[in-house]
Formats: sequence, structure tokens, C-alpha cells
Amino acid sequence: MLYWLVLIPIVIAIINIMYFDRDSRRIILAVQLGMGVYATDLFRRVANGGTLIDHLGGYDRAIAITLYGDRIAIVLVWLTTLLFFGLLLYAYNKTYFTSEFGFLYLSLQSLIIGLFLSTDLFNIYVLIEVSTVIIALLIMLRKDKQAIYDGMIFLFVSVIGSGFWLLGTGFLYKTFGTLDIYALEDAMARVNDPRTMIIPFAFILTTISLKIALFPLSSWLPIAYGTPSAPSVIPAILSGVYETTGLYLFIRLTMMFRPAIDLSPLFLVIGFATSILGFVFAVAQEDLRVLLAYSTISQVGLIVVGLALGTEESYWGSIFHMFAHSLFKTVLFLAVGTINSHYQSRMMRDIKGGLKELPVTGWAIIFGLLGITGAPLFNGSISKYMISYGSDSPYVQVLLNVINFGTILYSIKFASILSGPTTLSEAKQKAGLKKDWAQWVTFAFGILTLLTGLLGNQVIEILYGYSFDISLTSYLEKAGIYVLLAVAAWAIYKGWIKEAHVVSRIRGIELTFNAMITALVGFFIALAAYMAVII
Amino acid sequence: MDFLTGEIVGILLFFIGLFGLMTKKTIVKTIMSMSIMESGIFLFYITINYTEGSVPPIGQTSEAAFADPVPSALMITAIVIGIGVTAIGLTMFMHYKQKHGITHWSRNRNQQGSGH
Repeated sequence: MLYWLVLIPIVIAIINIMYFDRDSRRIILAVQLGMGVYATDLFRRVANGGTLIDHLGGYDRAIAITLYGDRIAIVLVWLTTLLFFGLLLYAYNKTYFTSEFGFLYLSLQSLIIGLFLSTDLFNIYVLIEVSTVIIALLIMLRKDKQAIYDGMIFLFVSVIGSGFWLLGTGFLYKTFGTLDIYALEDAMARVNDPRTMIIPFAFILTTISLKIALFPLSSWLPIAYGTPSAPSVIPAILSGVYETTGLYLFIRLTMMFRPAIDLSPLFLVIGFATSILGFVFAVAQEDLRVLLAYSTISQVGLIVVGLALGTEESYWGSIFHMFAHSLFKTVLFLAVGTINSHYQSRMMRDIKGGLKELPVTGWAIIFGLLGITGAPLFNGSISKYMISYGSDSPYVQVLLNVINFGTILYSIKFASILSGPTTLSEAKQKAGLKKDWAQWVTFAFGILTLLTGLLGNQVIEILYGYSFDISLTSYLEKAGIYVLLAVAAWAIYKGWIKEAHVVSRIRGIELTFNAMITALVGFFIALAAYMAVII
Repeated sequence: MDFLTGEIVGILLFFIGLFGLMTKKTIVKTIMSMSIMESGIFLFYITINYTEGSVPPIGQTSEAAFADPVPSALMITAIVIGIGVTAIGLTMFMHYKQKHGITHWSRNRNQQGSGH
């Protein structure tokens, strides 16, 4: 059953490229709708009857490639179909939506769903590799100089990263003779000497850390997301869905190795470092899309922190934050796309009066920013509340507040495009995009950000079957802290950040291609050395 | 020379390729280093779990142990993907060089590569 989710998009993609020279948009849209309905049905089945498992070819679990649809995976698959459908609606009238684009888009959807469901390490390698190629092609869609350069960096860095995965998988196969994640997890408990797992774990974890862009492996992400000529649905897919595949793999792989090696304390530190550096760089940016790219790094750091804290509440908080992050990041990336086509710029200094010019997009941005900062009533507030609930340590609480402060800081910077007198000429205002209905897609995702916050408890219960009671007094306390942080962030933004020279200096920091690979190797060696010391 | 097994040579090749990726600024050398790195992985796979005197698992009735066919089967797929990626990388590079005359990774992305 699960294999249809992977098979249908790829088959339609091939039919689309073979038979339709011009317009296949309606077929692709209909397929998305069908996929959404099917994924909803599968979700219902998983929620009622438990995990769905497909052993392809009918072979034994340890031999066959297995598709494994547990509650978390199926929710992510459902979210993927929802986002792909929404993004397609947004892109419907755009010039780049040709049958070639449709082919790449559907193939990517199939690969991403495969990544959520597959439990075979080699199969996952293939899916990662092919999705990397497709994303590189999507980044280079308009074939200009910068896009090709960015596409090459993304392609090469990712391919080299997945080489680590393949070698690590080889070590595991040599030891256990199986490639299935869950079979390996069982076998891991019987490992006599955990030191034998250091090398494969370090190899595989290096790839995942690169894929989710943990510090110091995050340099590729702003390059891939920030390519000026790539259509705005591309970074929206990358941030909303593709990043989530990496996080989901991170969860499953760390769980797989946990019986032998537990690296939670290390990832707590790396998570905080990633998150803090992410917001520092985000605050320094002028380009809206690059700001959002660094914001993604920061939020990923926060999710990793929640996972590394190791308590039940923080774990589910992180899972829900993945869900919430997909929604509000999609809103913001799409909104930047609309603003870009209206103002012909993504630089903050060129854009003012956004709310007056584009009220629908403007309000969507406000919803998205309130979501990402964890404002009361929005989905981010629930997930962040759960993550912080999972720890008693005062240090963790302080650092979580620092991260939230940083998030509010760059959100205030982002929001500065909404106010002020408009920077558009009168002619452009008249020819404006006020009737562009694609904006309503962005707005709808914005409303979802609010709704999944307002009904947070119920949504978590329905999606994951996990019930969590939020105490009103401590929620109000968090809301109070949020207001205080927001006031402090506003004061600091107005008083210092706006004019500070150090900000533009931070903006200029960038790793070269060779430095990125050196960081990758350094990370691998440090990881292996750390494990050798603690075991 | 017993220590010079396919596995060891494979791992060495992997790191030699990585060394090239860390140090070479020419884009075409990056692609070559990537291929070397991948070859290392292929060699590693096809020699893991090899036992002396084992026979292929198809069409044999011998008493000898069968060789594990899975790693070789996996590597056929990996080689195909490797070729695909190399081809795409080279196409991108050629397009980039012919159109903009750039052959090296640049110091700063905003300068978009350099032609020295």
C-alpha cells in the first residue's frame, strides 16, 4: 500500500514528460489532490490500526527493502503531500511551470516520500543521491551564472557527504550482514564492544549532520536556498520538506545506534551552537531569502536540542516543531517570492510599505513571523513550550530564551519591510499584484500556522496520539517572557543592530568550497575522536 | 603484504579523494577527486566479507562456500549513480566554463568563481 505513494508521482512524472509538450498542469494538480486523499486515508489507517509495513517483494524483513509507515512518518508524508499541493497552486500561473518543471517536481515528491518511509540504508542512500541531483537541477532552473555556481556547490558538497553514508553503511553490512534500520537496531543491542560502532556511526552521522546543516556544516544551506534566480517554491520545498527528511533520518539513525552509543550530550551542545550562530547570521542579512535560510539553520538547531534533551515532552515538542516549522517557513518563503515579483528586489533596503501594498501577503508574513517566534496562540509557542518543559536545567532554559530572543530579533528585522512609506513607483502600484490569487495560498498556510497553534493540544493528539496538558499559568508566564523578550529585541534592533558595522562584517563571512569539505572531514574526525574518548 | 587488502586500499582511496577535494581549487579536479573517492567505496564494498576460495552463488554445485552477492549488487547501482552524478557535474562545469570562462572555485561566492 505504502509503495503507491512513491510509485504514483514517479509514473505520472514520466507520463507527463513523454506525452505533454505544453500544458500538463491540471493533471499534475489532480495527482497531487489524489495523493493528498490517499495519504489522509493511510494516516487514518495508521492512527486506528497502528504502523503499516510493506516488505517489497514479499521477502523476509531482514532481506527485503521495507517501507515503514509509523505515526510520525505518515504525518510527515501527509504534510509533504499538503505542502506539494499548496506550492503547486502557488506556482500554477508562473512561467517556470512547464512539463520539465513538473517532471522534476513530481520526481522529487516521490523521492522525499521514499525517504520518509524507507528503512533500508542503501535504499536511503540512493534516494538522497537522486533527490540531490533533482534539487541541483531545480536550483539551476534559469541557468544563469550564479545559479549554476550555487547548483554545483550544492551538488558536489551533498554527493561527497553521501559518500560518507555509503562507506558507513558498508561497515555496518560487514559487521551485521543486514541493511535494515530496525533489524540493525535489534542487532545493536547485542554488540559486545561498542567501540566497533565508532567508525560507521561517525561516517553516517557526518552525512546527516551535513544534510540538516548542523554547525559547522551549514555553509551550503544559505547558498542553495539563496540562489537569486531560483523560483520561490524551491527554497520553500527545501526548507519545508527536504530539511525535515534529514531531521527524520537523524531521529531514526540516532535511535538505531543508541543501544551501542548515545551522543545526546554532544548534540545538545552542537544544537545550541547551530541555533545561536544561525540567528546571529540571520540578523546580519539584507537579502530576505538568505535571512530565512539562516533562520532555518537556527530552527534546526532548536529541534536537535529538543531531541537531545531526551525527555518525552521535549521529544514530542521537537517532532511538533518540525511540523510547525514546515508550515511557517513555507509561508515566509512564498511571501518573499510574491514580494520579489512585486518590488523586483529581495533586499530589505528596497522594500518598504509591504503591508499596505500587499495586504494579503503582508498578513501572511505577520502570521508566519508570529509562528516562528513562538507568539502565544501560534503553533511555534506550543512546540517551544514543550521543548523547554522537557528540561529542568536553568542553563538550558536561559539558552532557549536566548535563541528565542534571536528569533524575535531577526523577525523584527524581517517585519521592517511591512511598515513605512511605500518604495514602489505609482505606475508599479497601479499594475500591482493585488489580484494575484497565488497570495491566498500563502495566506492559507498562514492561517494554518494560527489554527495549529490555537488547537495545539488537539492537533498533537490527532497527529501523534500524544496528549500533553499545557498548564495555563505556566503558558501565561511564557507569554509574559515572550513580551519582555520582544520589547528587548525591538529596543536592541532600533538602538544598535540597525546601524552596527559588525553586522555587515558578519554578512561577509563565507566558507569556500574547499573549506566546506575540510569542515566536513574535520567534523568526522572530531566525532570519531569524541566517541573514542567517551566509550 | 597481507594487510594490503581491498578494504584497506578502498579506505585509502576514499581519503586520497577527500584530500584532493580539500586542497584542489580547480573544478575539474574536484570532479576527478570525487570519482577517486567513489572508486574507493566501490572497492571497499566488493571486497568486504570475501573468503578465500568462495564461489559465485549462481550455477555452482561445488561444496565451497558461496560468495556474498549483495555488496556487488549494491555497487552496480552505486556505480550507475556515480556515473550519472559525474556526468551532470561535468555538464555543469563545461556549461559554466564555456559561457563564463571560469574554471576555479572562488574565494567569495559573490565574485562567482575566478578564471585564473
